[in-house]
Amino acid sequence: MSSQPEPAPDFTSLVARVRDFRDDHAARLLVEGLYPMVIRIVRGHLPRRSSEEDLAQEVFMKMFARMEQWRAVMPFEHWVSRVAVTTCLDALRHQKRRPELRWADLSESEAEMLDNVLHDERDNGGGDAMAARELAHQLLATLNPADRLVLTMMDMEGRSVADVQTATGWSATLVKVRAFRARRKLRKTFEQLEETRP
Amino acid sequence: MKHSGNTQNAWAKLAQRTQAAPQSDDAMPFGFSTRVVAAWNARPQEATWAMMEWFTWRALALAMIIAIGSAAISYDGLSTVLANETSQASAFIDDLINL
Repeated sequence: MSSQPEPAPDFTSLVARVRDFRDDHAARLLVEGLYPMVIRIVRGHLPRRSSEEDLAQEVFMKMFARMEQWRAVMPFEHWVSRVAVTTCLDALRHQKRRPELRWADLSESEAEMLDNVLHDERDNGGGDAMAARELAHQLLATLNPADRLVLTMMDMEGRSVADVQTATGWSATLVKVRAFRARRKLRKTFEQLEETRP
Repeated sequence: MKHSGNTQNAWAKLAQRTQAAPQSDDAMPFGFSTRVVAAWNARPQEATWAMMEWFTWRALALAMIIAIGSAAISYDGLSTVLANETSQASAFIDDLINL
């Protein structure tokens, strides 16, 4: 027997209670209800050496601080996801230097994965998925924050252009242009990696 | 280029392979919501600042629109003053002197 799915919390009434009465219980329910979505966004875009819990806390603090600005024209969870994305983007922007990636910087499993994607003509999807993820994050860290955000959402999370638009507020054209430019930059990074191969 | 063919779709292949990685646990750490709410209560003035910031930007935008609009509406008058053609003002001052 499958258990009944839990009903989605009514965020609108919780927001009203927080805004009008500063109700702590409603505030806790909001955090608990939105945490899985927020932590997924934070993990997807986490800057190097940042604690995911600290960044998630920052998202919720901004959510409470800016709650007055939310208008019910969009669902509250969409609005919070936009706050989370912009918070991650700001955190990435504070990370001034972008590392230049060399073959020697890669771990053994990452180097093996890189060799695999560069030289294995069969697209069999095999290999260590965790190593693939680590390598992808290393490559994405060489891009500027906006380009990194677009590729993380579209290529790694499989989100559509419309999803990226909703999460960032950018136009469809801007999203497509950024994705195109970012993929071109990554192609160059792959070429540079090949050149630094021992 | 020898390597361009290989690098052409390397990112697409890599991104596809990351999808097979296991998803991390989304469970909230114990006491997280209590900590967040306590931090929010400790900084109640943030909401006020955020509201002020929000209104300040809008007020600035509105002020700029009004300034540009005013300049556009009174363009003729302004261009006359700037060109030193203040005949109307001079006539008014002459009338005052002659009184």
